[in-house]
Amino acid sequence: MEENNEIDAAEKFLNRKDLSAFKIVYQHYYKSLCFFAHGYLKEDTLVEDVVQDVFTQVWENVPQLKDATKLQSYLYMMVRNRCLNHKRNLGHFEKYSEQELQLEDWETDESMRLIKAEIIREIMDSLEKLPERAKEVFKLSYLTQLREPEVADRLGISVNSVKTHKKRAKDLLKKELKHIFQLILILNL
Amino acid sequence: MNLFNIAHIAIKFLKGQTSEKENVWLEEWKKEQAEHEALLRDMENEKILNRDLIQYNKYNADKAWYRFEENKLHARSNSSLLLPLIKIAAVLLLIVSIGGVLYVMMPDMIIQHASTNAIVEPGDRNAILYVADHGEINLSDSANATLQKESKVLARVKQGQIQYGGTSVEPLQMLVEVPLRCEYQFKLSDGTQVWMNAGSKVRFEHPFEGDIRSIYAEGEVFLKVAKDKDKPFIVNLPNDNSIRVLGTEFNIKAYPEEEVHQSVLVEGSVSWRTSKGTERIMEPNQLLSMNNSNNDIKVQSVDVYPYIAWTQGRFVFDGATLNEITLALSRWYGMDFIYQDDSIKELHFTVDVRRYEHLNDILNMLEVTEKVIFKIDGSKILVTKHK
Repeated sequence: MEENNEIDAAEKFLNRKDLSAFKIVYQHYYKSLCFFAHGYLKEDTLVEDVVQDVFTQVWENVPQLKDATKLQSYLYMMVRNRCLNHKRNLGHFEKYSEQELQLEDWETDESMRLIKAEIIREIMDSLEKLPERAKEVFKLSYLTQLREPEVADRLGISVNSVKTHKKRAKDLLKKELKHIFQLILILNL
Repeated sequence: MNLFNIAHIAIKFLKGQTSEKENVWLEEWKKEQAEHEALLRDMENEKILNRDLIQYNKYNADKAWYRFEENKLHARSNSSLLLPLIKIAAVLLLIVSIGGVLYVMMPDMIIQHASTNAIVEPGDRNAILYVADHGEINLSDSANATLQKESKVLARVKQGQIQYGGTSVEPLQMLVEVPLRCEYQFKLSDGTQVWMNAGSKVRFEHPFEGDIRSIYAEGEVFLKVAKDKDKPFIVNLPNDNSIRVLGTEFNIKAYPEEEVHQSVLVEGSVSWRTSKGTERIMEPNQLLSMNNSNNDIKVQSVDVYPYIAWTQGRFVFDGATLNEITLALSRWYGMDFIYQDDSIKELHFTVDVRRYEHLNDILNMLEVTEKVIFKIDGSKILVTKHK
C-alpha cells in the first residue's frame, strides 16, 4: 500500500541515506510542500526555491529522528520555518530538536493550510491511480479548457472514446473518493 | 491529536473508510472552531477545490528532482541565481492571440510529440574574463585565479566571482564575454551590478579613470548602477550609440547582428545618445527602440516585466512574434531555428516560463496551439506551419 511505501522509504533514507528512497519521499511530498509554502509566499519561483532548499538541506544533514513517521512533519516544519524567516527577513535558520516538533504555536490558518495540502495530495494521488488513458482524458478535460472534440483530436482518438474514458474515470473516482461526489459534478465528468 | 492525524482522518473520511469512532471524532473536531468546519466545506466547494487543485498542479516534482540531482552533482547553490528585482507572481500560461482559442497549459499536462525526442537542456552560469596582458580566465562556479603585477594583487576570481584589488593599482582593461547557452552576473568596482544574457559582452576599465565611469556593452545586459553624483555612468553601445545614466535600473538589448536595438528603463533616468549626437531622455517604464539602418527612434510606455524577466530566470513574451521568441531561445539553448515559411515568423504568442526548462517542453507548449510544428535535427530546429 502506498502509505507504507512512503514510510518504508523514509526509514531507508533516515537509516542509510538511500538516494532512491529519498526520491520516493521527495516526489511524494514536493507538491504538497509547495502548496503549503504558497500560503506564505505568493511567488511560485520563490516557493519552489524554498522547498528545494529544504530537501537539499535534509539530504545533506539527515535528521536524527527516532521515528520514520516524523519525517513528514519535519519537512513541513522546515518549510514553514524558511517561509516565516523569509517573510520576517531574519536570515538565520534554527535547527530543530525533537521537542520542537510541536504544533501548538501555529496560527489556525497555517494548520488549515497544512491539512488542505495533505488532502489535496491524497486526491491527486488517487487520480494518478487511474488507468493511463482515463487519466490523460481526465487531466485534459479538467485542468485545461479543451472540449471533447479537441481532446479527441489531441489524443488521436474518437469523441466516443473520450466519453467512455471520462465515464470510466468518473466511476473509479466515485469508488476511491466516496464523499467527494461534488468533485465529480464539478469536473463535468 | 496532531495536524497530520487530523489530515489522515479527513482523508479517510473522503474515501469513506472512517470507523464510527472516527466519524464521531471528526464531528467534534468540526465544532471546535469555525475554521475547522470551513476547511471541510472548502473541500466540497467546487470553485475553491478547483482553484486549489490547479495551484497544486502548477508544481512539477519530476523537473524539480532532476534539478536536485543536477545540483547534487555539481555541488552548486540551489537558490535563485539572480536577485529578485520586482516581486510579481509568475504563472505558467500559454495563450494564442490569433484564432481566439484559449488554452491554459501546465508543464505536466503536456504530451510529448514524436518530433521532439532529443532533450535540449538550458544554459548555464558561465563566462570568460579577458584581461589585457594577462590572458583569459574562465568564470565558472569553480574558477579561482589571481591577477598580479609585481607583487600587487590587481583582481581575483573566487568561485567564479570577480573581486577587485586595492585602489592604488594600474588600470586593467577587462572584457567579460558570455557565450551562447550561458548567463552571468557580476559587480563592477563601483558596486554597479551587471546581469548578462547569452551572447553578450561587457568591456570596462578597472578602476574607472577620470571623471566618468564608462563601459561598453553589446548583447543583452541589465544594469543596476551604483549612485555616484560626481561620476556619471556611460554605457557605450554598438554603432556608436550610448546611454548616459542619470538613475539606476535599466535593460539594454543591443545585439550587433540585429537591426533594432532597445533599452527599457525600470527606475531612475537615462539619456540615449546616437552616433549623430541626437539625445533622447527616457523615463521609468519606457521602452526606447532604435532602428540602426535608418536611425529611427521610438519611445513607448511598457510593462517592464517581460523585458527584465530573463534576470529572474524566466522567458516572458507578451504578444511577441515567433521570430523574436525563437531568437531568444536560440541564444540560450544554442540551437538554430530554420523557418520553412517566413509567414510563420509573424505569428504572435504570449509566453511565461522558466528559463531552466528543457527546450522540448517549451516547444511542446507552443505546438499545442496547433499553429506551428518543430522538428529537432541535431543542432537545428525546423519550424513548419501546422496543416
